[in-house]
Amino acid sequence: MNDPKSTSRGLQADEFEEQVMRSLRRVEAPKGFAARVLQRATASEKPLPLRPRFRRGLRWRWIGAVAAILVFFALVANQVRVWRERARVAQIQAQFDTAMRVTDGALAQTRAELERMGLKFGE
Amino acid sequence: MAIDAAELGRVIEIHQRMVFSIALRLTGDYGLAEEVAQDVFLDFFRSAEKLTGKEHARFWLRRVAVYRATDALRHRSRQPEAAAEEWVQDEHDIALGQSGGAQVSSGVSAKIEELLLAIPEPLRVVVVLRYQEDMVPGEIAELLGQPVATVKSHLQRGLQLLRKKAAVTMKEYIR
Repeated sequence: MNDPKSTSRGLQADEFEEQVMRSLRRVEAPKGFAARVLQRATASEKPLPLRPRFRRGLRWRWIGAVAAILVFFALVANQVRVWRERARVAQIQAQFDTAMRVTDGALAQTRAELERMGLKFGE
Repeated sequence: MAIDAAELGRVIEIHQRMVFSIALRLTGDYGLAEEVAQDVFLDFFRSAEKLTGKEHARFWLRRVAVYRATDALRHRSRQPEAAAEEWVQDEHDIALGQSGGAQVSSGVSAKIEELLLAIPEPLRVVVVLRYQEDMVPGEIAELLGQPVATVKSHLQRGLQLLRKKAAVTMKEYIR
């Protein structure tokens, strides 16, 4: 029963495939099926008038939330900028202090050397 | 393509046999199939604005029917084989009532429908789309989002399994 007997949309079908095709013909939907679907569809439509108002309120809540997040991030970014600026100033101050200490040390050493050689300063 | 209830009614009239038959053949349960088919049309009602035309709508309905039916199968607690007995018997009775005498023919059909429910779900989906919906492998592949080679392989394996099972259980009908 595997001999190709006919074709279905360009594909060869043997006797068994034809039998499968006959067995799998579409069946009728149950009686009243369309009415039941329409009933469910219209029932699901009823709450719709509430949705635009809900959506409008929801939209403003979203806008408010996004604005609050943006303000928060702007404040945080500004604070971070101030902290960084302060840190940079502190670093420069420290470098300056170190440089001054090194210079003082060098001058004191030079003065001591010169005094040892007999030169007097500030007299 | 936003639609109202009247338009939905027309779409249901055109496609209810297709959607219900896909759901029935995949789930093997008359009640579950109706539930699935109803959900498919309700999904369609909510999503119709995304669809671009009649062909797109038909493609969409087939695809959602397959996905919803397979999903329902996975969530169903009882075994499909148990349900198959019920609806095959129902369909058998209906067929007998409609056609009067062709007992052997409807017996073979009922048996093949029963055997179909015993093959693995991915193979069953492809067999149903090929032989019920008369779709070629390329169309099935597009509908399921699978490679054509996979679809052809599933089709071949599905048919092979059906043949084997039929050869064992339907000796009285097959000559």
